[in-house]
Amino acid sequence: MTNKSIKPPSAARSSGWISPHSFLSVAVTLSVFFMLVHLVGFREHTAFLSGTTGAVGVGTRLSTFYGVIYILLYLGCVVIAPILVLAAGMLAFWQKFLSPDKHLP
Amino acid sequence: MTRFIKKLIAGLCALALATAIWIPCLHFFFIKSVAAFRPTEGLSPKARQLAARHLQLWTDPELRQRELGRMRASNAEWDFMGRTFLVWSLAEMSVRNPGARAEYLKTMDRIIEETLHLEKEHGMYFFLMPYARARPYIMQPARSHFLDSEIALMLAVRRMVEEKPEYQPLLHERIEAMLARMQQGPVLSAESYPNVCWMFDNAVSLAASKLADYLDGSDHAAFLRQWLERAKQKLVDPKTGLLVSSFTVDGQPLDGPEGSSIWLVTHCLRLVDEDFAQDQYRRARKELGRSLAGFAWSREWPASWNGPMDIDSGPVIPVLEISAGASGMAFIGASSFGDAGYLTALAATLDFSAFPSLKQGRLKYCASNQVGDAALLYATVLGPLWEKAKHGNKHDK
Repeated sequence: MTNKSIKPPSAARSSGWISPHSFLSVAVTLSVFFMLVHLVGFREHTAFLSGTTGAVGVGTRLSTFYGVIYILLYLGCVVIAPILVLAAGMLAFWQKFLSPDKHLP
Repeated sequence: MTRFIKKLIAGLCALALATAIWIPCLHFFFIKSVAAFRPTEGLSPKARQLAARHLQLWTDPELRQRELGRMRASNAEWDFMGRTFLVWSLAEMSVRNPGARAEYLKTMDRIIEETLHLEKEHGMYFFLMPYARARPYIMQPARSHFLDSEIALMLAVRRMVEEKPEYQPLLHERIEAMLARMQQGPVLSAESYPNVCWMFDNAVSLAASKLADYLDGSDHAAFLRQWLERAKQKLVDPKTGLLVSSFTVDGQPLDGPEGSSIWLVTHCLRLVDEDFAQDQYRRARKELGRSLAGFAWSREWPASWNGPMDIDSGPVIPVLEISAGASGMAFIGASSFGDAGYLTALAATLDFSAFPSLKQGRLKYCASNQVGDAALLYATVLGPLWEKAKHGNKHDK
């Protein structure tokens, strides 16, 4: 072990997030959560965007809340997840072929 | 530099590069050719699917009540406008798809008769927002140009498809009543709400009177010219050159140009003065039309006008100033003026962000409502009736 590889625990935890594996994990998690809210029918509640309530029997505030959750997870799945997948690929490539530390464990 | 810092920089660079690649590519998953939205002839699959959903609403009373109830809870005007956009759409579809004309005519008649019945039974306030009762109308007896203009255009387009003698006197009376009221004011416009004249409704009434000329051989050309001259003098916003959206009976502007109004106004003005309509459309594109990374939308207000978010604009997304109401109406402008680039980018935004739901061949947009979907349907089919009315009249042929 060299001095270079010694880092404080918080940095170690942080660096764990910057890996192809964690990027892919977040992408998959966003997609799974989006699929779940899609399957339970939250898509209908996005009607709040037009000033109408989404479904009969659900109050306006709750319907808006479901709609906001759906939109955030949709953007997570359609916009953020593909970026994370692409970034994971680039990071894996960099670590394998370009990083000066590529031979280090 | 520690390994951690190097890894952090590499991670951030990868994320930035991935964002730079993905964001400009995203629209490719949603963009389609203009013919997929509004073909020159016939109906696009989208038009058929949207129409199937609306026709279902008019054959399933329970579903219709549910949908109208949702809209009326927010705005009674939407119940009315959902009907008018649908009738205007079905009329255009009757020309584009003659095989289904009988079904379309039946639905149009049903909507028109029910709307006239509701107006007669409950009065005009049934389709107006509560502030219509806040003070008396300036022009007496009280009438709303909102109802008169849109009902007149419903009757006219129905008769453009196929004559229905019972509707001839109804259209004639409505047109004459509207024009008589318009001529009472210095800017030749009538009130939709007490001392509030909407450019939207006045433009619709001009289109209806032009169609009435086509149908009945009447001649309102002098009035239309006079209206246009007065509007250019008194109702144009000096900063943008666009027609304002609302004003008092004596012509004092209440609001500046508005996205949820001007796009349909330009479409209607094509029947009055094509050059002026083209000029207004170009200005609206410049002041209100926006695009980024292959997606397009409309602002509700130009940058030079600080207007509020209201029931017409719908929620406005800050920074980009995306207005759901204005963007829906922008489809009508882009479709009418054959602005293929803007139309396809708007359609990409629609499929990306309005959450389409296609079930058993029936399409609706979850983020929209019945009136929004009916306006979109109109944008997918408009054209043939305007062309017919612009080139002569029924009696010439």
